[in-house]
Amino acid sequence: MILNRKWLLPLIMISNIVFSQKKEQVKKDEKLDEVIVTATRTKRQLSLVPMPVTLITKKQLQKSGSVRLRDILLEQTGIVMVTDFGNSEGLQLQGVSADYTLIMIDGVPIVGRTSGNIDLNRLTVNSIKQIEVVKGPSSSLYGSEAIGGVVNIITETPKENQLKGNFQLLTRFGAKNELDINAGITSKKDKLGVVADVNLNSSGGFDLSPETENITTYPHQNFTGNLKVLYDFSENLKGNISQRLYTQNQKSAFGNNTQRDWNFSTNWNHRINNSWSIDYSFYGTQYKAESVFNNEVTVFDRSLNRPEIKSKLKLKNSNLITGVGVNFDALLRSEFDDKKKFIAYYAFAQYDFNPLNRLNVVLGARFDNPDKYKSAFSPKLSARYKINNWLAVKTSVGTGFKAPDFRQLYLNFRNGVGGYIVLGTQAIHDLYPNATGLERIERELKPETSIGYNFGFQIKPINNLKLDINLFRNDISELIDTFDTELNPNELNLPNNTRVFSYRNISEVYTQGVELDVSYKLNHNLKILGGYQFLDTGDKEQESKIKNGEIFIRRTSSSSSEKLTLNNYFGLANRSKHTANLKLFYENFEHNFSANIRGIYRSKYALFDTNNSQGIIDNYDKFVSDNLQINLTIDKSFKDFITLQVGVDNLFNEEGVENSNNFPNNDSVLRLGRIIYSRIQFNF
Amino acid sequence: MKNLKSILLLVVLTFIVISCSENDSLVIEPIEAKTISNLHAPQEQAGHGQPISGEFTKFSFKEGKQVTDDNWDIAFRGLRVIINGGNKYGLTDEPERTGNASLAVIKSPFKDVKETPTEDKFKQDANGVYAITSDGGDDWYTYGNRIVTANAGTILVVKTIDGNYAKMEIKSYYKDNPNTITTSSEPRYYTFDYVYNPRVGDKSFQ
Repeated sequence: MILNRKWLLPLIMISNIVFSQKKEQVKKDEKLDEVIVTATRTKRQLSLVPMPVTLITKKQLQKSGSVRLRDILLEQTGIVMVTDFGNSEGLQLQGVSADYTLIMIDGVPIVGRTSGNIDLNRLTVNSIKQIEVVKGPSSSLYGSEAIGGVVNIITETPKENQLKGNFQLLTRFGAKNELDINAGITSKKDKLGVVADVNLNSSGGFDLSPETENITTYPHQNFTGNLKVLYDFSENLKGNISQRLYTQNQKSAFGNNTQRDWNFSTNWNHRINNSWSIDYSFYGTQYKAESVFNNEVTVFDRSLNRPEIKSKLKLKNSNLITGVGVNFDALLRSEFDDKKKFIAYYAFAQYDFNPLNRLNVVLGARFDNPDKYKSAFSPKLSARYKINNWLAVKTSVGTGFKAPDFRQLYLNFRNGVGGYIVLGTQAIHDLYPNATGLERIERELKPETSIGYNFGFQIKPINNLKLDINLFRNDISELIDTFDTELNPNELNLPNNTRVFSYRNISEVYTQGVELDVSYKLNHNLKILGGYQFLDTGDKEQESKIKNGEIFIRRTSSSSSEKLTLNNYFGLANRSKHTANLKLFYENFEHNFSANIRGIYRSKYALFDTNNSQGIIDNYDKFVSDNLQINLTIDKSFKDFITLQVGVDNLFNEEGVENSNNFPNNDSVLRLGRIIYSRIQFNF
Repeated sequence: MKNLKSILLLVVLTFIVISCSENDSLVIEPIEAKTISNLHAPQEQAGHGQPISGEFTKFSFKEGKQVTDDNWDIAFRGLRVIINGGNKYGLTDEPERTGNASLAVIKSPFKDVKETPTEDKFKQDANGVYAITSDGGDDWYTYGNRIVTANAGTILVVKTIDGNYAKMEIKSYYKDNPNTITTSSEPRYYTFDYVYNPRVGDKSFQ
């Protein structure tokens, strides 16, 4: 796959500029780096926040040989990448599926989901300073979709008198041909700061099942450009404007698919006095995907515009954040009659205080008042108590919600051959206002809501050892699902026997488990990181059906039916009970050499009910077998100027071919084989 | 002491053996569980939207096999299951109902159906109504992802043309009852378990 020529010229130019810069020595202070902003929307020291947070540093990103956001996230404890049908992949957090997790860049959400998933390959890791993952509901700060948690990508911000740049080239071969070129510059002089990055990524695609007609992933090439300009007008007024453009072109057997993702944000910080400051911000984003299938163009055009004002008041031993904003959401889709719009006003407040010397409490709430669905109120309470020098306890209770999506309100899908139609709740009311039985369908869906509990310990028994234990439970209710409205097709002028489906708030599910993280520094050179999550999930309605003896199963195709018991209930689809990771980082400072080996394990999981027990997954269903993937990276730096890296992903070529027997013609149960990559990076 | 224990054990054992053999002396005519595999129930269809036609595959519980005469209890064609009692539904090539068989559907594990349900549960085919779904319940199968799966825990209790009772559980619609059904599995081959009580009118299955 050769990169488009028109990108090559500016790239060469940029790299030339970057090459000519002189290197500025910047002392890294690791402790200072461990500051996060996502959990409270204020700068807080990672180890002191009362919520469960995972921090992925730039160093870890680089040492792991990551290229796209997906690569690094799947190596984190409690994060599982789930492939849906159509090979759309999403991130599962605390057992909560991707639809209910917010992916953000610098605190504002990325839009444009495919089957509920934000494609994490859309995001290059190159301009990232760090990634912060807050687990558990965070709607009290971030509103809709923050049920499972939020992943916040923090981009580079230049430090005073800093000038650094990099140019890097990565090639991946083996199971996947990929080329990734990146050039970036970060600078700040006096009042002006600039961060600019250009990334080009292309891949020859891959096919996990060459024996079938379908290609798993078609070749693509994409471009990402970031530009952030910061200017300090005075000590009291600082502004920044940031832009990101992503375009991707993918050629399939049926035609061309293009994606364009544009983000614009600007933030103006006005310090009124030493204790009070106000942020005025505006965020606008548009994600547009066009695909051609049999000469027919399908469009998906999603946009979000959000003005927001946030005030921060610093008091003695506490601080108070308040904010108001508006979300202007819009979606134009080929399956809709016209462009659909949501407007939602919101207000939030958070009080962060220390009632006792050893006790930190964060109390927050948010109210979202939308025009097209019912409003949502999301409070959250978190606290951390330091018992002694080596032990602290953290707890938080919060609510999350997810607004009904456009499809659930407006879809107008008609399958002529299949004998059924699917209509959004508002579409059905608008199309057939006089239908008998229409009262069974609520025009205004309720948001899906959750309550999440987290309770954990931070233990530091000895200087080199850190242990984090977190117990969690999420109860999600009012889940929206399709149902057969049983409306009379004749009355709606539809062919006889046409089934009319719509949406309603129906089910209740839970996810609960334990998460364990260990970090042990053996010595100056060697560090071990380990993580484990036990996960238990279930659908409350399914469980009550099982208790009532209404569910029957056959263990194998030839055994007799039996009643399913709760012991044999497995829980929700795509959930593994055990996931774990173990990483060994070695660093040789004398020779500027480092190496690491990372193992990621995921136990078996089900895709769907395979033994016809009313959609319920039990221990006798077919499972995708467990898998262990080992990744290896080695790098060597020459005088901090050049870094060479080689690595192998999926060292033992675990492709999951054994799953083809149970799930034929399903690429989602297969995995990419061994990938070898090499990278060269120039730093200035 | 040791002797006493042994004697005690011996007495208990003898007692058990005797009581067992006493039970055995009350032997009933055997009610056997049998499995029919790959009962082929083909159908014909000229084209999409055309009526389904072809001979039904008839089965007699008394014979324990496929029959071609009028002495059938239940018959299959494709997904369709009809009973030899009542009236024609109105299908192409549908056989005359020559007997007075009827059918009841029970949601239960197979082994837990120890006797027949009450008389009112038994239904017959009629014009536009199949006995198997006349209660408003589900059919014996579910169709999804282009695959037919036999519903677990759906037990058909049949009153045969002779007034005997049989219970049956359809397990598969595909040839050789594969553990993993795919879209390339060969359909319209029934595999089912059944228990037939040879004593006329006896409602017990054990």
